[in-house]
Amino acid sequence: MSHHITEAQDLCYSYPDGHQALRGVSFRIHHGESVGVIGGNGAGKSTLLMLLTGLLEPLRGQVAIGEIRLNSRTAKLVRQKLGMVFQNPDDQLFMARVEEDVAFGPRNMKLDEAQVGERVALALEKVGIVHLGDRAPYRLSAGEKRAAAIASVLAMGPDILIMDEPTSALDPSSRRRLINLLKGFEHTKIITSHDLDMVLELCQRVLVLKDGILLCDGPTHQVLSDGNMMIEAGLEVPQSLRGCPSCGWKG
Amino acid sequence: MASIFKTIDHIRYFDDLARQDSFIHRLHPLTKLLSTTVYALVLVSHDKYATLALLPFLFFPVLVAAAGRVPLSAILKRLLYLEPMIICLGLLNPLFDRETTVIMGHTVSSGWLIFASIVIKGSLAVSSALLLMATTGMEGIALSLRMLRVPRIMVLQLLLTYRYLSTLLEEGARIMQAYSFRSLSTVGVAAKAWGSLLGQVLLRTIDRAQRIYDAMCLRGFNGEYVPGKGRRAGIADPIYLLAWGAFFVLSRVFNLPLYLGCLLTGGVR
Ligand SMILES: Nc1ncnc2c1ncn2[C@@H]1O[C@H](COP(=O)(O)OP(=O)(O)OP(=O)(O)O)[C@@H](O)[C@H]1O
Ligand SMILES: [Mg+2]
Repeated sequence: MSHHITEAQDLCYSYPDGHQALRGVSFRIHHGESVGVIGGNGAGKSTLLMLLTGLLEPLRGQVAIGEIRLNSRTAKLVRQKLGMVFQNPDDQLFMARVEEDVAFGPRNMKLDEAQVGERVALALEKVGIVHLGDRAPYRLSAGEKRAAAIASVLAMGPDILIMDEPTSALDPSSRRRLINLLKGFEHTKIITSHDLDMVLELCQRVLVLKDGILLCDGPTHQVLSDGNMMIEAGLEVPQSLRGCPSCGWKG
Repeated sequence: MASIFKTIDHIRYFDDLARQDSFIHRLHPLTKLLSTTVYALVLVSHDKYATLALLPFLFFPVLVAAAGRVPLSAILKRLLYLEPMIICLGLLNPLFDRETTVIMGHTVSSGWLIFASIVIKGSLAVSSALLLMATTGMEGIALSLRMLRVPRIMVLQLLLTYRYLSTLLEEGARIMQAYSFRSLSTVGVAAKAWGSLLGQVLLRTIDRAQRIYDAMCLRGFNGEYVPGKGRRAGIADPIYLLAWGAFFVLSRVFNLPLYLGCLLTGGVR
């Protein structure tokens, strides 16, 4: 496995209706780093992930994964290393059975049927939904759908895992299972979330976006406890980092 | 509004049926596709005045439905939706064909006879196609089409159309739901709102279709659907195919109901 550096240089993006979603975002993520992307609604998080995966092309600036500069010609190559879990799992599950859906990626990689079967079984087990293999994705609950979507990405064995709000719609125990699962994933992770406690637990580093601008980039603990900056970004310091008024504990 | 949700369920219902387990489901998709195709071909090739002689052909859909645990009502209901189309196709005959024929001592207009024949053939063929969907599923059908060397692009079209159809219906249902919660009116959609509602449905569907397509691309899809191996064909497959094939040809060549009738009444004309 090579050591991929994910690099964004001065990324700008406007939607066709003229709305400027990103205005010059730059960062560098090293291999094995786990980075949270936070910010209020409409800050541009999902847009950033779309640019990183090459689903959108930046208006200005560029993305590079390892030595490869991302463009329409290299997108196919880059996507073999990336796995992305969408914000809405309904967009991601399109086959009639969960198993088939998880097998979709490995089959596209031209693996033989035995290997495909192995990968599917492993991915389902990792996410803890072996019992859902034969069910129809559209009949699952929101959390189960999310788990299936994650399995479908893990089955491809990505080097860089990108997730858009993975813990939304999960019950506490599924959320816990997901966090533990992600902790065990040793490759690069880029996760957007409003679940700051999860970010605190999983990511060493966070990027804070506001109105398409990178407001802050630094170690999670330090950034999340910066009250003024958090409020400016439309967020708030998570409960676990606030001091306790009665015992005088400083977080 | 409820009717849209029902329509979605109709589409999905067939996926559900296809997920069952039965003798028919365990057959290889190709076996089922071939037997259904042969059935339809033999049926259509039958004499244009054939009506009673078509009776044996009823066995195929009824037996397959029973063995495949597909409720006959599910098939009949969907058949009803398509029946107007079949009737329209047949209806031209009584208008243009004004000759008469004699069957069993009665004089009937041959135009109406052809009409009846077309309606029966059409209904049987459509039922068998519906049963194929209900016991094989779209993915199974796609797999066997690929095995028959049907071009990739056409198989892909079929699959995506099927997939996007449910997407379209879902978006429609969501918007209608949102509308009816807030419009306060009890029934239907105000004439003024139709335009913008339909536009919304279309735009949203395109958006969603795009995102689904994006998700496929991110998982290595590049214009080629790679089906799995599916079930392995067993000894039951050739037997099933041969048995039905023989039965179809027999029913085609001999007028079985007539023979049977003669046998029972003991008379030979
Ligand atoms: N398809 C689109 N067309 C036009 N504008 C869009 C489109 N998608 C998003 N936007 C706009 O771009 C901005 C950034 O959107 P984005 O989806 O990246 O936000 P986000 O940070 O992911 O928000 P959330 O936390 O709500 O998911 C928003 O202001 C949004 O209105
Ligand atoms: Mg988002």
